[in-house]
Amino acid sequence: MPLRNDFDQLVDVKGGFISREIFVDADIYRQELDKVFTRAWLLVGHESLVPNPGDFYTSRMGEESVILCRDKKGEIHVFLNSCRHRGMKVCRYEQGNTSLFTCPYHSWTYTTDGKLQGVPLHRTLYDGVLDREANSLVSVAKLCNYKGSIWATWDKDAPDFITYLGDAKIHLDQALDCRDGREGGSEVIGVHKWVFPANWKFAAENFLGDTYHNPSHRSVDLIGIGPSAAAGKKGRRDDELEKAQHVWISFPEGHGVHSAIQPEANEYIESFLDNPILEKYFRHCFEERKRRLGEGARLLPFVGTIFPNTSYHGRQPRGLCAWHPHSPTSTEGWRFFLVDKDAPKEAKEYLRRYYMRYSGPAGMTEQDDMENWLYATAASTGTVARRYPFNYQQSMGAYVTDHPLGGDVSTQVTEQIARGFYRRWTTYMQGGDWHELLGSPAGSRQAAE
Amino acid sequence: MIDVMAIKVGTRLKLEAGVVAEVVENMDDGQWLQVRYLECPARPADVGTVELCHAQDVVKVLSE
Repeated sequence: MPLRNDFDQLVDVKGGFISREIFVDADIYRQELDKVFTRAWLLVGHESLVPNPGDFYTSRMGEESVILCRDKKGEIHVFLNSCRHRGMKVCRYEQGNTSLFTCPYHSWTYTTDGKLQGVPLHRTLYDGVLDREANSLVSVAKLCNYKGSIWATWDKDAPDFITYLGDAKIHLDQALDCRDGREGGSEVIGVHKWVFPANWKFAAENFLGDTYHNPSHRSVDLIGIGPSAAAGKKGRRDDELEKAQHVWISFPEGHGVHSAIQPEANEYIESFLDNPILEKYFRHCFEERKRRLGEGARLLPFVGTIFPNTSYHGRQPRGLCAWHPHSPTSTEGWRFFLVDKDAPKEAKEYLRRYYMRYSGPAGMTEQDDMENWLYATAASTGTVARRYPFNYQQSMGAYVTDHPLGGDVSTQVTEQIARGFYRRWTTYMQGGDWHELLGSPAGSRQAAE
Repeated sequence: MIDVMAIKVGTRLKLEAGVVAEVVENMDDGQWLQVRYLECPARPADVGTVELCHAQDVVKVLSE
């Protein structure tokens, strides 16, 4: 079992080398489940997946199955999907509506607020012994409905979700808010789920802002799969960020984003050329957003990862991703595709088709990514391969720390974000306290006090 | 074996431990009924309580 100091050797962010062991080793993986996935805030789902009382959606936190459900009073809960009697899943469906969760094994039965309500032969077998209240479904320690996205942590000592996001909040907001600048107001119009043989960190790192891997999508770019592809536009998306100042930001909590700041003369760039209705709708959204947000409208999202395993695409396509670990070398990818709840039906249908063209196991772009993650994982499992660490020396020191957006801000493609992600991963693996996990150096709190 | 799917609201049942109860809701899952206790010899204070009752607890259908 790696000791505390071992992690500093495995992850050398100063030198820019990271051992392949952290992507393939079974023992390190088991420790990740305990030290990262039971403490960090994790994306569970979206409120639009459970709009009505009794609605449920089975999700995952780490390797474990959880139930996202709305009780009959309308309150949202997240429970471990495991009976308190012998551990059987009490819910074996992906989603639906119910008044009760009944364990198929011995029929212990729970209400949608998690309470143990029914126990067969309760009065004859458990009379005066079984405390039903104490045998409710195991609930997460903290839950946050943030602009419709549902996040949870098993750690009762974790900071609130907004504190956890830190300065990455404004970037995640861009993915969750309405296209016209109103806060929240999104809905999920579909979820892609697939399992791929790669370590979960390959996917999380890819979305931190690894713009350097663009050449792997060259073939797609030459064909053109963006919203205006039929009008002859090449690339994966349209040109709305072509005049922007791109920024790559590493945040102390381990999050990382690639966003863009539009020029002062922030004018609409046609982005849906082959559909006049969509073009009109998005032009209207652009002007409304500019009117609402003023200078703030110049900031646009591209991609990002909220530590540890939630990523987003902020514009084209727009959605949230969860990278659920299955094993050191296997991950289940989920993509939740977002649209404005009150968008015209035609816009939703158009975007749904674009999302499918772009993402998921049959999407043109994700196939490129997965080929890389799969072979990188497979090629890192060998005895000889493990002796050679990955190189993370790109753009060393090329960032500023006094930018108004916070964090380490770079204006060139950089692996500073990945170095920041793995620095924080190391803090989790070393059992750091929340002060350290949010980015303060070990011992600084005591020094300050 | 009693098929609880067929039991209607208002039916009186005899349950384990001498309990007599009236069905207030059939959960329609073939296992559970919501019942109100009418007689409860071991705990008279429980009369009036509404509880989930499992098919295995139903001894006899008294009336419909």
